[in-house]
Amino acid sequence: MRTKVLALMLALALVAGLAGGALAADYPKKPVKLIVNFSAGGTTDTAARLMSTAAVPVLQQALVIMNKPGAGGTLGVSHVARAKGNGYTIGTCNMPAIAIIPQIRKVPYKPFKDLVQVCAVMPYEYAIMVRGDSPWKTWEELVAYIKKNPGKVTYGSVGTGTTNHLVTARIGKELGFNWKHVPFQGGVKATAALLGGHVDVINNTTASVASSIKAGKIRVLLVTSEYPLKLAPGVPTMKQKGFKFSQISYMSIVAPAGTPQVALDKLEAAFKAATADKGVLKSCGKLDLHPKFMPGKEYQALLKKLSAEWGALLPELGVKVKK
Amino acid sequence: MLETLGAAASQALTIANFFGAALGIFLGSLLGAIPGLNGTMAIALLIPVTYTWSPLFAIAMLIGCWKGSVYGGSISAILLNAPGTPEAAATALDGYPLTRQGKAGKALKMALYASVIAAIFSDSLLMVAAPPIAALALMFGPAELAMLILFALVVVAGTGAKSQIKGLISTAMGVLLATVGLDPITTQQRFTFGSIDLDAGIGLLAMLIGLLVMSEVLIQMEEGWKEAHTEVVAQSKEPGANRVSWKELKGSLSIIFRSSLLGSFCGALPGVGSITAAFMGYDQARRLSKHPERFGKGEIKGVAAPEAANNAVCGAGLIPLVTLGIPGALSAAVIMGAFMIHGLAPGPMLMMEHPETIYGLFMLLILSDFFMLIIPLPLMKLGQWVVSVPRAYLFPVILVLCVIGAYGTHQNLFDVKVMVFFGVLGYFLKKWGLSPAALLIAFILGPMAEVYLRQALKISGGDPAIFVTKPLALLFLVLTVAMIVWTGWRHHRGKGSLDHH
Amino acid sequence: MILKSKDFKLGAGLSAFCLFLLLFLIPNQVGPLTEADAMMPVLITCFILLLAVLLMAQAWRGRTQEKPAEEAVPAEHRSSPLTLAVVVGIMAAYAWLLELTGFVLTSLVAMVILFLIFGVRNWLTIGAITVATLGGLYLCFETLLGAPLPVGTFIENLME
Repeated sequence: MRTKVLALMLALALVAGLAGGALAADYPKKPVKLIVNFSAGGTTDTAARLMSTAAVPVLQQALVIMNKPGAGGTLGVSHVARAKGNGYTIGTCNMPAIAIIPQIRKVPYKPFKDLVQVCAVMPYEYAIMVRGDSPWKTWEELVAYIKKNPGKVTYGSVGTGTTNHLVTARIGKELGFNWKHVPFQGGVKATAALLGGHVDVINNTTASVASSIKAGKIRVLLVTSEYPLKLAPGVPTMKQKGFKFSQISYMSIVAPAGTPQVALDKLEAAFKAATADKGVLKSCGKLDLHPKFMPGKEYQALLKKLSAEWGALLPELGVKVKK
Repeated sequence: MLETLGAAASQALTIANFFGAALGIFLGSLLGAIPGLNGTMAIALLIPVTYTWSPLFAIAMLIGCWKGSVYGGSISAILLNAPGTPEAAATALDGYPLTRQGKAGKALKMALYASVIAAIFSDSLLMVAAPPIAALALMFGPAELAMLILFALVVVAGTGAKSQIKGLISTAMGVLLATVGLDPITTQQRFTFGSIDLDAGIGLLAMLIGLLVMSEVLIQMEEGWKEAHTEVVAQSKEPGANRVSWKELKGSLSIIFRSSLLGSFCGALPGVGSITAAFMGYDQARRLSKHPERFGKGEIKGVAAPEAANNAVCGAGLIPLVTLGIPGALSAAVIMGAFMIHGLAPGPMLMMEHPETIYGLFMLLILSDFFMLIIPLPLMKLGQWVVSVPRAYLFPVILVLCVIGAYGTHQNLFDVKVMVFFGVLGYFLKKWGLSPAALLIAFILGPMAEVYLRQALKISGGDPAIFVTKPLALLFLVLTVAMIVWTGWRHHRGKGSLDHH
Repeated sequence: MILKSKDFKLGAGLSAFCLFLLLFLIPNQVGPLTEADAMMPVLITCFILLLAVLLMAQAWRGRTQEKPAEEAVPAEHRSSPLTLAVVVGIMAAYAWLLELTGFVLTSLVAMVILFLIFGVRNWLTIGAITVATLGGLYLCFETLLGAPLPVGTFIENLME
C-alpha cells in the first residue's frame, strides 16, 4: 500500500515537473503580480499603472498591482527578491535601491544576484532649481555667488544617499565650493522649503514641480539629467556645462533571479510596447513624464557601472557607509 | 469669473457627481466606523479603482470618503472606546464616558454637528482664501515647524493619562518607538534588528489598531464581558440624553470655532496632520475651560472640540495641494494621485489651466458637507444597535477586522504582527495607568520634532540661534515656555487648593 | 497600598528597561552613543529613566494621586488571565500563519475558536457571522478594490 502511494506521488511529481516545463512555454497562464515600490498615487505608481494597462495586449494577462512603499524603495524591491522566480511576481525598481543604498546600509537582498532587470521603462528627469524671484538667473550667477559667499548657500535634497543629494554634493566638490546639504523626507517637503525660502536651491524631479515651473514660481538653472528638458527649454544640461557625469536614474522593472528566460523576454516585449503606446505617452506627457525603453541587459550593465562609480565616491561626499 | 463659475456649476452639479460624493461619504463613514478598518486604507485602495472614472466624480468621491471616515471614526470611538481612525483617538476620551453614562446619542450627534460646522468652515476657507493661507503655510520652514511641533508636544503631552508623570512616560515612550526604522537624516538603521520591514518604521495604522482597538477588546474581556450577554449600556432615562439641545450647541460653538481654526491651520501646514489637530483641539478646550476637571469624564465639549478640529483639516489640507502642488495631510497626498492620473497636475497652474474643474470641486465639497448631516444618520442607529449586541458575538468579528485592517493599507503581513504586538502592549499600558492616546500622538509628533530640529540646525550650520532669530520660530518658542510655566503654575495652584480642603 | 507597590514595580521595570537600552540595545542597534543618529534615542531613554525613578520615589512616599479603582463587576464575570493569554496566543498564531495558510482558512479557524472561547455554542450563529464577515471582506477586497488578500504559500504550493 505504502509503495503504491509513493509511486503515485512520484508520478504526480513527474507530471507536475512536466507541467512546469510546459508552463514556461505558454507563459503567462495567470495574472502577473507587479509590486510597486512606492505608494499609490505617486509618480512611479502612476507611471506603472498607466504602463501596465498598455502591457496587457502583449502579455495576454492582467497585471495586478500591489504597493509596498517604504525605506527608500528597498522594501518593495526586497519583496520581489524574496518571491519565487516563476515570472508571476515582478516589481518596479529605482536606481538607488540597486546601485547606491546597498552600499550605505544593509539590505536583505544582493542587488545583482537576487534580481534581474527586465528592462528600464522611464528615466527620471532632474534639475537644480531656485525660487522664481531669486537673484540668480543662470547657473553661472549661482556658482559665482556661492564662491563669493562660501558655506552660505543651502540646498535641499529628497534624502541622504539619493541621487539628488549625491549629484549636487559632487557638483560642489568638482567646482570646489561648499554648499550645505539639508535632507528632506521626499520631494514635496523639499519643494515647500524652497518655495518658502528656507533653502536656496533644490535638486528634485522636474515632473513633480512642473506646474510651479510653468507658473514661474520655480526657475530651473541646470538640468542634471542627460538630455535637455521640454519643460525648461534653453536651460543647459550638466554635459553642456562640462561635467563628465549626470544624474542618471531610471524606473525599471525587475524580476527575481531564476525567472525563466521565456518569461523575461515576454515581459520585456510587453513593457517595450507599453513605453511606445500612444495613450501612455499622452497621459504621461500631461504629467511631464517621458517613458523611454532600455533593454534589461543594457540597463543591468549601466547599473553595475553606476554602482562602482558612486561606491567609490560615497566616503568623499561625506555619506556614512555601512558599518 | 461669473462665466467660469457657471461652467464649473454645469460641470460639477450633476446627479452623477452628487452620487459620487454621497457614496464617498457613506463608504468613508462606514469604514471609519468599523474598528480596524479606516478611511486612509479605503482611499489608498480606492485610488486605482477610480482611474477609469471622470475626474470630478472620482475626486469628489475620494474626498467624500476622507471626510466621511474622519467623522465615522468617532462613532466607534464613542460607542466602543475603539477609535476607527487615528483622528478619533481624542474623541474617545470623553465620548466613551458619555456612552457609559447612557448618553451615546448625545455624543454622536454633537460629534456630527461639530464635524459638519468645521467642514463648512474649512471648505469656505479653501474657496475664498486659499492663496494667502498657502503663502502663510510656506513661511513655516524647518525652524518654525520644529518650534511649532515642540509647542504641540508640550500642549498634548500626557493627554488621557492618570497622573502627570505617567502622561510624560507615555509621551516619551511614543517618541522612542518612533525612532525605530531609518534615521530621517542619515538614513542609517535604528532598532531594526536586521529586518527590512522595520527599516520602513512601525506602521502608524497597524500600531493604532493594536494599541487602541485590540487592546480594548482585551481590557473589556477582563472587565467582565460575560455581563455583556445582556445589554451593557442602557440608554439613560434622563430627558435629552439622546439629543443635543440648542443650549449645549450654543455653549460649544466658541470651542467648535476655535477648533475649526486650529484644524484648518494644521491642515494647511504640510505634514502636521489631522491627528495632531484633534489632540490640540481637545486640549485647547480642556485648558481654556472653566471646569477642566470635567474632561475625561464625559464632557460634551470634549467631543465637539477634537471632532471639529480633525474635520477642519480636510478642506484646509487641500489648500497647499491646489495652490502649490504640496499635499497638506496624509490623505491629501493620496488624493493628489487622483488629480495626477486624470491629468490635473497639482500646483499653481491648476487654477489657471482648469478653473472650471477646481471651482466645480469646491462646489461639490461644500455640498458634500450638507450630505454629511444626513448620510451617517442610519450608521449612528446601526452603531447604537451594535453596542447592544452581546460582546461575545462582537469581539471575534472585531479581532478579525483588526487583522485585515492592519494588513489592508500596505498589504503587508508584517503589519499584522506589529498590530498584535501593540495590542498586547496597549493592554499593559492601560493596566498600568499609562495612556495609549498620549503614546500615539507622541509617536507622530516626536519624529517630526527630531527631523525639523536637525534640519534647522543643518540650515544654520549648527547654530541654535536660528530658533530665536526667525520671528515665527521665536513666537512658538515663547508660547512653549509660557505653556510649561502656565501648566506648572496651574498644577501648583491646584495642589494648593487641594490642601485647603 | 496595592497600587503603590504596582507603581513602584512599573518604575523599577522601566528603569531596568532603560538601562538595557542604554547599555545594550542602542549601542548594538543604533551605533555609538555620541553620534547624531543616537542623539534622540539616548535623550529620550534618559528622560524615561528620570521619570521612572521619579515614579518610584512618588510611589515610595505613598503620594500617588490615584485611588485604586473599585471594580463593580463580580469576579465570576471577568475573564481569567489564562483566557486572555489564550486569546493573545490565537491572535499571534493568526498573524504568523496568515503567510502560510492564507486569509480564508486562517481567519475561518481563528474566528470559530474565538467564538468558542467567548462561550458562544450556537453553531448556526457562529457559522452565519463567520461566513458573513469573511465573505464580505473577501468580496470587498478582491472584487471591489482589486487588492489581493494573502493566499498563503502553503495553499499556493498545493494548487500548483
